[in-house]
This record gives sequence, C-alpha cells and structure tokens, in this order.
Amino acid sequence: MTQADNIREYALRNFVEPARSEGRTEVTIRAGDVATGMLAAGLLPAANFPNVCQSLQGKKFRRLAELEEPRRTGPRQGPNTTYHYVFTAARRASSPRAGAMTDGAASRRRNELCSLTIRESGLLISSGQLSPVELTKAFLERIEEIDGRVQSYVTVMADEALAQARVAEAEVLQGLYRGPLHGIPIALKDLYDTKGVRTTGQSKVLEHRVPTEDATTTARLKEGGSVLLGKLAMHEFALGGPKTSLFEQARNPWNLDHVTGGSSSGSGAAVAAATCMGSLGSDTGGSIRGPSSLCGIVGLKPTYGRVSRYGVIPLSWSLDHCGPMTWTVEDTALMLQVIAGPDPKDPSASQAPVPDYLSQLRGDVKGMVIGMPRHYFFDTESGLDPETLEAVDKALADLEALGARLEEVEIPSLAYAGISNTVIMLSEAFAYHRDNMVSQPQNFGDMVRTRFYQGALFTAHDYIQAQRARSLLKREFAETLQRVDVIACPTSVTPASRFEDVDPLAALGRPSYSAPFNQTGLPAISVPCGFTGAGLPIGLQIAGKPFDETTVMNAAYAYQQHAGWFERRPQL
Amino acid sequence: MEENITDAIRLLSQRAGLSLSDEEIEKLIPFYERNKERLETLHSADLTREEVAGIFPPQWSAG
Repeated sequence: MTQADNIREYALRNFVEPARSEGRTEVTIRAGDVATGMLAAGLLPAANFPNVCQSLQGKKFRRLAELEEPRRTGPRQGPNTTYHYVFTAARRASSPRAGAMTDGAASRRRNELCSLTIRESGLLISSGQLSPVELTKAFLERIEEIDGRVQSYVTVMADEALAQARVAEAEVLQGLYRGPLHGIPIALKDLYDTKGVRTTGQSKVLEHRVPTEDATTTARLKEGGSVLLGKLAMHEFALGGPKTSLFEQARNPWNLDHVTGGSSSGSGAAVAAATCMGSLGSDTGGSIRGPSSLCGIVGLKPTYGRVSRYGVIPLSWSLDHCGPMTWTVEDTALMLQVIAGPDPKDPSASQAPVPDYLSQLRGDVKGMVIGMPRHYFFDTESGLDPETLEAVDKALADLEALGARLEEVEIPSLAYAGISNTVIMLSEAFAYHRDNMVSQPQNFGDMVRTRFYQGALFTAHDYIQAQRARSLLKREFAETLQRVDVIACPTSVTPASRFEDVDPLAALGRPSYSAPFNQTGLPAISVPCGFTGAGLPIGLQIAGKPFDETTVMNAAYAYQQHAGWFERRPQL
Repeated sequence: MEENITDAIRLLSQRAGLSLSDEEIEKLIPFYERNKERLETLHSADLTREEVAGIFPPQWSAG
C-alpha cells in the first residue's frame, strides 16, 4: 500500500465511518488530526502534511468514502487545513428527487459502482456503506446493457448471483465478514468447473457438460464470499483462436473490431468493460498475460504450483497455470490470496506458504535490479511493434527513475523457447483430447482442430528435446535471477489485431514473449504501460523468482501507481 | 517433395489413431513445414547436459 492509501484508509476508518454511524450528514477532517493519529499509530514516518492534504481532498478518497467535494477552511497546506464534507447520500436525500433517481442519475450511479476496484468495494462493503446486492444488480444491468456488443459472457448466472449477494449482505450485517472478496462480483473463464453450471471450454464437444463438483479455485472464491456473475468466453479449449465451435467470440472493449487476445478472451474483455470486478484466466503460453496486455488490465500467471489446477479443463498439464485478471495490481493480490495454496487434489500444487500479498505491496522499487534480455524481447526485426517497444522502454525508464537499477542480461536458450513450448503444449494437448479427436472430430472448431492435429505430428524425440531445452532455459533463468530481482519486457509482440487479420500460420513465425515463463514456471505479471496512437493498450511484463509473486507484484504496483494508466477506461 | 510430406503426415496421423481426409492433410502441410523448420533449431541445440526434469533448483528461493 502507498502512503496515500494508508492516509485514505486511516481517515475513512477514524473520521468518516464514526460520523456516518452516528447518523451525521457531514464530517469535518483536520489534516493535523489525521497526521497526529497516524504518527502515534506508527503509520506515517513523519508528519507529511502536503501528502495528507492531497490524499484527503483527492477524488479517490471522496469516491471511496462517498463524500461530496469538500469546503476547505484554513491554509491550503499544513496541520490546520480543514475539510468540511457532506455525505453523498445526505445530499441525495435532501434533493427534491429523493427516493427516485432519474434514469441518468441511476445510470451514473451504476457506472460509478462498476468502476470501483475490488479493494475499494471491499472497504465499503466491510464498513456497511455498500450493499453487495446493489453492487451485483449494477453489474447485471451493465452486462445486460453492453455485453451484447462485447460478447464476453457465455453464461450469465443472474439468479444465482443475486442469491449469493443476498447471503453476503446478510452475513456482513451479522458481522460475519469473510474478507476482501466478500460480496464482490467476479466471473470465470468457461473452463473452471462450476457445480451445476454448464462448463464447456467453449467447444461443441462439451456443449452439454455440467460438472458435479467445483474446481478448487471456484470453491475457494465461493468460500471467500465472492459473487459469481457467470462464465466467460475463451478460445476453444484454451487454444483455438477467435473462431470456435460454440458461442461468439469476445471483442476488445477498447475497439470492438479488434481481438482481445487469447485464450482468456472473455476474462480480459469483461474486466476491461467493467462487467465484472475480477476474473480467473488460465495461461499455457500467455493466455492470462496476453489478453490482459491487449485489454489494458492486470493479469498474473503465478508460479507453477502456486494455484491449484484441479477442476480446470487442461490444455497442457506441465504448462498450465491458473491466475487472476483484474483492473489493478492490488485487486490481483486480493484474488491471488484467496485462490493460492496447497491442494491435495492437485499433485502439482505446492506446499509453499502463502504470504499476505496486499500488506507487502509497498510501491517501492528502490535498489531493485531489473534484468532486460534485450536480445530476445526487444527486437523489432523479429516482429516487435515499434509503439510497444517505445512504451515499454518508457516504462523501464520510469522504474529506473523510481530507484530501480536496469541491467541488460543474456539468456541464449530463449532461442528455443518458442518451438519447445509449441511441441510440449500441442503434444500434451493432443494426448488429452485424442479420444474425442478420433470419435468426434467434427465437433471441434476448425482452428483448434488444426492445432491439435499438429500435436499428433510431433515425435517422441521432438517432445524429449523440447523438454531438455526447457531444462536448459530453466537453468539459465535460475542463473540470471541470482543477479537480478526481476526480469522486465513487453508482454505481447503486437497490440490487438483486427479480427480479419488473425493468421495462425503467421503466428507460428513470431517469437512468444510469454511462453518462456510457462516453461520455467516463473511468476509473471502484465501491467498496462500505455496506448498506441490508435488507442489500443500495451502491457509491460515483469517476471521473478519462483513463489516470489510479492516482488513481481510490488514492481508492477510501483509502476502502476506512478504511471496511473488505470485511471483510463474504455468508452462503451 | 510434397508427396513425401503428405505421406509423412498421413503416417504420423494414422499412428496417432486419426483418419485424416486428403483435404485435411493438404491444410496441415504449411503448418507441418513451418514446424519442421522450427524443429531444426531445437534439434541443433547443444543439450548434452540437459535431462528431462521438472523441479526448481534448491538454490532458488523467494528471499
């Protein structure tokens, strides 16, 4: 958390909430009182009044606390700067239209709710200022209004979601608060098993499949009190491409004529379109980070073994990873906290302890060493888009200005990363789908069938050599990560292409910037780092040591807070 | 040359239990050729020291 976050949270808990619980319609906050209280509690290293004043009058604090623009008295800065606020609800109640918001006001209110982050909503829900039912209704209405164009949902679970929201609301009112995801509306890629709810992998092969058990991740999100809005579009069986045998394909909220990237296409589109607060994707060669980059959101592929894969339709056992996709890094940390940890049902799930991720987000990269394998990830001759290169170089310069040290590194075996990932992924995918490929090939979409067939054409020798190249890659990354804390590079080679420009054969010739981290199993995050001239998002990828998601997220958080790209939303 | 590739695809796919039509085999040719080129890079790599292993080296830690 940044100092500004701490100030907002302290003021919310110690000034706003007590005033509200006493039934007051106004609250007065003096900067000196906040600073003194935080100093006494050890939350502020030194009384920094400009920072306190800035945080208290900022839009984020007002939105979080539901306060109107303040009337200031006293000097502009210093302990005697005092803000007099009126609660938004009080203003609304005193308005002549009280009780019946106009359509425009209701729509504004709904859009405000849908653009809150998980963290902001969690604070409001836990303090009784936001109803999970109102929040869920806002999302369901927004889905109804815009998802016909974005096409991110394949199943909307309106009745179930409202029932879950009512339970969450009752629990919070009874003081049974389950944590930061309690009452938070989320959605899942349609390969996460959901008990009693159709889960298809977006393939006709599984058109009528209804699981009898939840995936471990689904169950953990439910235990955390989250509200499941529905199931999200994806590339068929997490591989095919934007044409599938079942359902329409998701569209990029920044420009509906462009793809979202895959395979977690709906997961990227829904978060970007604010039709859910967070989603889960899966990542075998970049399927969380690619759509996150192309849709302008945050996506984390955790370390292999960090999150259980039980109950998630596999693509490639040794490369598959499950992880969160959200609007901000803090929200990613909150979702990871709930889904991470050992699982006896998944033999690859690690016993490594799960740290408290949010509390370790300090936004400080001073002294952090960032490795840049420029020879592979920054090469425009191999297809890297020049605008992407420019944005990523600028982001790295920003991190350097924040106190990180940049160091160029060489990882020669990256030369084999693309083909070895292809061989391993397609061979394992064919092995898993082989029986259905033999018995009902017509039910696979053209794109995925062509790719699975390729998996049948590799030999055992190819597969073993690919695994040996993977071992070399892991060794070289291990050596590199002895010298640097993280590795940074672009997430995707190009921004989102138009649907008609998707060419699977041409894609085989391009390097993959995400696949090396599937083979090594290292944690890697994508965080927005700018936009092209055409208004399409660009992502910065940061990867780190195994089970060190904390450092990876911390670097991304420092950059996010500095750059502020998360303030920009697509207009739909 | 193309006949050899067609035969190779037919043989490999039959071994995998698939019965591909001529049209399907035709469609796979450019992918097969592209992957074959890429495989040359992999097979020319010096992997003498490498085993098939799936664990993290013990010196790796989150610290």
